Amino acid sequence: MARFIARRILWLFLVLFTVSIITFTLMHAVPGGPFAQEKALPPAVLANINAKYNLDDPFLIQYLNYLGDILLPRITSGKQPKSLEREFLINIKLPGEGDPTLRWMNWGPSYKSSSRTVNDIFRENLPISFQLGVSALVIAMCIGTPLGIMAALKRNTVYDYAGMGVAIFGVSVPVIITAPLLQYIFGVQLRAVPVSGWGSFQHMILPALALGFTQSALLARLTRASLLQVMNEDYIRTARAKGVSERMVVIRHALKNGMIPVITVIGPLFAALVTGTFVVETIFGIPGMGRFFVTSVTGRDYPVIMGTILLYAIFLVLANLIVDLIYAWVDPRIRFD
Amino acid sequence: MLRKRTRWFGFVLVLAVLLTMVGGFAGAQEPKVLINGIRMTAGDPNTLDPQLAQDNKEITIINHLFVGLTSQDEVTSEVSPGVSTWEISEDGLVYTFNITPEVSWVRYNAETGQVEQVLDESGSPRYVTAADFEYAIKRSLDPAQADPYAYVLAPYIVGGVEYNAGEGAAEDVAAVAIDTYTLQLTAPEKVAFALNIYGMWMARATPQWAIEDAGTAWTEPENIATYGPYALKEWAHEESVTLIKNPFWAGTEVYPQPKIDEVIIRFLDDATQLPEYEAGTMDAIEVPQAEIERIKADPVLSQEYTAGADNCSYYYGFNVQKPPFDNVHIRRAFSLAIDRQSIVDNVTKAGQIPARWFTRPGHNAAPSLEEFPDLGIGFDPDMAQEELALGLQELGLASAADLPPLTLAFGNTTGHTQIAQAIQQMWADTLGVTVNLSALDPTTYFVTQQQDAEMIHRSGWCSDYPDANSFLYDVFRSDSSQNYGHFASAEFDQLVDEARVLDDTDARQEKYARAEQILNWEEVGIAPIYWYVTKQLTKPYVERTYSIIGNENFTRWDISK
Repeated sequence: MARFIARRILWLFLVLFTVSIITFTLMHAVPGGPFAQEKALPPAVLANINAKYNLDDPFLIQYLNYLGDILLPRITSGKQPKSLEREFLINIKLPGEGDPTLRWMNWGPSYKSSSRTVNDIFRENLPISFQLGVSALVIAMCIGTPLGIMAALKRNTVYDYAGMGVAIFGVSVPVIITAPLLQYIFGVQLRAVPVSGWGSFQHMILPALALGFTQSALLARLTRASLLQVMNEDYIRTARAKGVSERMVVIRHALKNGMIPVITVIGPLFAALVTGTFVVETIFGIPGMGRFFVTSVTGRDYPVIMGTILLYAIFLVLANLIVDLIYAWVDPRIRFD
Repeated sequence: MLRKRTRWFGFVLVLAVLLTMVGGFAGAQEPKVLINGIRMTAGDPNTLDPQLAQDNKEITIINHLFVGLTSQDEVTSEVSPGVSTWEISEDGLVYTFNITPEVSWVRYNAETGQVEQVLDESGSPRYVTAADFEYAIKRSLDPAQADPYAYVLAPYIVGGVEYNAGEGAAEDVAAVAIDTYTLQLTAPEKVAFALNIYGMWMARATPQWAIEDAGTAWTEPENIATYGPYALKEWAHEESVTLIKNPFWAGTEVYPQPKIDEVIIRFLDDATQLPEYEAGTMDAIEVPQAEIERIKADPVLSQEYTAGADNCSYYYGFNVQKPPFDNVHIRRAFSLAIDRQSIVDNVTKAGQIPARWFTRPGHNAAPSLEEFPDLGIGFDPDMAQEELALGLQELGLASAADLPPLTLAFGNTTGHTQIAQAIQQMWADTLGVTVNLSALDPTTYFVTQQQDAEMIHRSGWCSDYPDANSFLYDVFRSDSSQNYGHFASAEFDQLVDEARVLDDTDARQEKYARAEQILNWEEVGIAPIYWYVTKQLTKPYVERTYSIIGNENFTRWDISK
């Protein structure tokens, strides 16, 4: 298994490398740069800004510089001048004279902000999105999975129809509708929870519900379909023939196998949720990371585009790796080699 | 003896009771806190550095932290003293600013919860000096700073343009601190609105020592030093900025000592501001376009709604180099066929004013609708058809069907798309032409517009300083970098050049009116559509002013609840 994991980690680097080349090329190919705006800047000012951020270098040099800033660790000594261009995610103090520090991963400044770096976004905004994403995922699983199981076991009864009705509602009504609706009912009318903002448990309830509910519908449909299929398998009939109680048939034999497709989607779902969701964060005024996926692209904020996409790629690959490991636990027939 | 002592005792008792009451009342007085969303959108301000700021969100906050040499009254747009008074030399070129002595640099101390004076190395308070302004002005013009607004300041200080372009030196910039509190600025030519320019945000004093110490992080609350009516208490990135009253601020005419103790400015989408406002958790907000009809119909909200004057214009530019819009009759026909009143009534719906010309009335020396009711252009379908016929005749075309494919380009926001669709229909109805709509993502649109503007392209302009020069000279002089449609008229250029340096406001207004007539009617470089309004909701317990210059002034607001 260790070999399997090691191999997958190596693949991760290859994936990241490929993603970075494609993204870097695409974003430079799109018309307009980070300083294109409605009020055109005079050429002299634009030249000053491009020089400040080394955007006047050849494309390949820009890419290699970017890669070097992230990958190459460096050791500095003495007090470092504060600078957005030289700000590192990982700073480890080393023993020795003159305050030597190992610094690694400079993801670059945000071109749109005069005071923030991509590392600031990772440090301050990512944890907020992570918190919200995990809560939403838990809610999605707590609602979706039981709903799907119930619908599958009570197939073609009123429970099935009700459960799937809820699921279809969740899938078809987008969060851009449910979120303001929740906001209006619980925030404006009942005044039970804050309308927007972040910082307390109360602030988290509505956005986590809005986000979780939509995803729960997906999980419910998937659980139902998968479980229905498993319940028709030969080994379920065998279990029943052995006289195992229906309850144990479902829990021990059907459910474990039936969850494989669900686990498969939870991996990418996890990566998508914890890196932030633009719509929910905007509606609820949450200072998460989801906004940056959209605003960085519309604003051509190159380092933020690269940072968010590579981070998403890392989460995606790691989540899939964990999913693969869980497969083996759920279904012993699956082997790594 | 006993009597005397009793009386004494009684006096002390009464005093004690009185003191307790006064103390009790004083202690019970809640700080006044305003929660504002006006001029704000979702997302963090890009900067709070005056020498980097460029949008409304940033400037609204900066105005309360750093006050200029001059200030603009947000209600009348007139210039008045900021942290200085001034004398102007007889030739109108040398401006001597006498900076108010002992305006303290301050900082919010999170540990004590107090705004404190910033002390220098010797332990005495730092005051705003002429040197601070000299530093700031040169910092704005420094090519390495890459201040996006340097180009507005540079032409009004001798040596500014050269230094900003990387061809001159800082020493040659004619901004000189003569002594501690005297700053001298020399302009290359006499212009009527130089005082407006010298008061703008990029020319506000900034603390050299704090900037050199903290680098780009100097605008964070723990590093920043400010001197205006409010200090920076908190900057929760992507969420809010909290301003706290600066007790050391003595007050000026435009920025008096604040009555509100704290202003919390939240960065929320307008669609989120409204439910917050309805839940009673925000005091003043921007109104989302989609909710205007509901608000106007609501008995409570309609009373709290105001559509106030703003400083922006919405227009369509014609690229006068692209056929068939190289023909003036064709351009005029397209402008005449736009029913502006209908767009304002049926599409934008917030009480915008149908525009007859480019410059938003209310700016200094700008023509007003009352004085110039027939200036510019308006909706006239019959004349539009006549002009189209004339144009087709000149082009040698038999009918509108022979025109090449026509395109209108715009940034793909909902608002622009709705207006474009309405106008597309008006052109079809009145002129019988089909215009293709090209909706592009905003950044792509700006770039293509600047490099090679479409035949008809959507545009807008907000003044940088409240003078007609900020519209006509800055945008449509033939050499302007904002003149995307290549409008060029020698007479227009001459008029705006002359009006720029005249003293007499009435004479300037006449020249600008004539220039507008050329731009909108004779040469038809653009089709003006409407003048913007602000759309705001304010709780009844907030006393406030309504700004016509694009930024609110919270020092003149109060809360009584």
